[in-house]
Amino acid sequence: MGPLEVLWAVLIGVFAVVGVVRGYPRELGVTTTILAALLLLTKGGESVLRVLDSYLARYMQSSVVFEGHYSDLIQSLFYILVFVAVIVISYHGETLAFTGEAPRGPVGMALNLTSGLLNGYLVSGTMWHYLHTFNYPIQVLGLFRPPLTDFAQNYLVPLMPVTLLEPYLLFLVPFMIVMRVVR
Amino acid sequence: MSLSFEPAVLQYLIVIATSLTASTAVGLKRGWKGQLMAFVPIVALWGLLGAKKEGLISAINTTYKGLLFFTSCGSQADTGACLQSSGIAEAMLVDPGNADQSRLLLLLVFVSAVVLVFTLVVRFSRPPTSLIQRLMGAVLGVANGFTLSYLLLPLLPYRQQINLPVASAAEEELPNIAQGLPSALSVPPVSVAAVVLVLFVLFVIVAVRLMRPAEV
Repeated sequence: MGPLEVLWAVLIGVFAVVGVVRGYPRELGVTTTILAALLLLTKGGESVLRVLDSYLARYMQSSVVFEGHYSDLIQSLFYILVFVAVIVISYHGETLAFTGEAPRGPVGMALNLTSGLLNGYLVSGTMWHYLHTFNYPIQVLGLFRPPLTDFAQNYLVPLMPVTLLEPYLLFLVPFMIVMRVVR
Repeated sequence: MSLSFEPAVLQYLIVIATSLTASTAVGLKRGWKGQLMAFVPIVALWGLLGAKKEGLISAINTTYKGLLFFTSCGSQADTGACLQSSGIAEAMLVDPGNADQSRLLLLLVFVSAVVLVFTLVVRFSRPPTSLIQRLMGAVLGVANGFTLSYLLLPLLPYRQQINLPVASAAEEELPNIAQGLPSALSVPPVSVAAVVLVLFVLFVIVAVRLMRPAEV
């Protein structure tokens, strides 16, 4: 498997194409959902894992989620799978799509592309963040071999969206909802 | 005096700028009467939340327990035994002893109420009849914006970065590549975050402004 940043860039590219095809009013709805999901995961993800752990501990006689051999993998997969599930749901329908249409011409195209790139950055960066936080547990599955490239270490890891935006999600989510309402 | 630019400061700036902008906009649109209509309930609610904080937390926890009881023991024949064994009696969503959780709850309730009040005032009150009234509304809006930010600032969370649990078992066997990475970025993360936030907010505002009405 190639460097992680190749996968990261391909994902962003895919989301950019999706953004151009769907138009940014729909993409902004997805952005709202992504930010809300990030808020829920950062504020409540650990609590949910603790509830899950205490439930499983009754049957396994020990902590599986936080102390087991695959604890990092389980935690990482939990965050990533919940996040991916939210993304799939947000793309499957128009529940939070902004009402309106993109302007015609190159301006509309540029806005569509930018919104797609933005969503790609948020989605792929978040998944990378949860791999990074738990020390890339997919190594256990043979899906990744360290080390990270210099470029990824120096420039991409510090720019992950969760690390940058986590303290401000409480503002961004209401902001997106307000923008949707005033629209 | 030097002011270090850190996440808490950026949070301060966001709160102050948002409060000022929203309050001034309401004042411009609905005049000083609209401002008063918005601000009296906001201040009253803030006082109410301060006085009845424990009651609110208790109500939230009681509702949470009720939900847990309904989902876990609703179908059981012996609900008393289920209640004992499942630990529902001790369960709580917001720990009254945890200042962070209590503050977050108050922040959520208060911000939701402020947004609701502003929306209702803009939606249902009458626009000012003269420019003077509009300007008086804006001036009152600036003053009220500062007051609003003063009410909000003590409720802010001050967490600087995510602190998720990392179990130690796998770390002993896997090369630890995620910790202690050098960074070639010489600017602090919070400055990068500020740039990302500004670009993001600007993009959304411009994109929404440029939207065409949906064709039927």
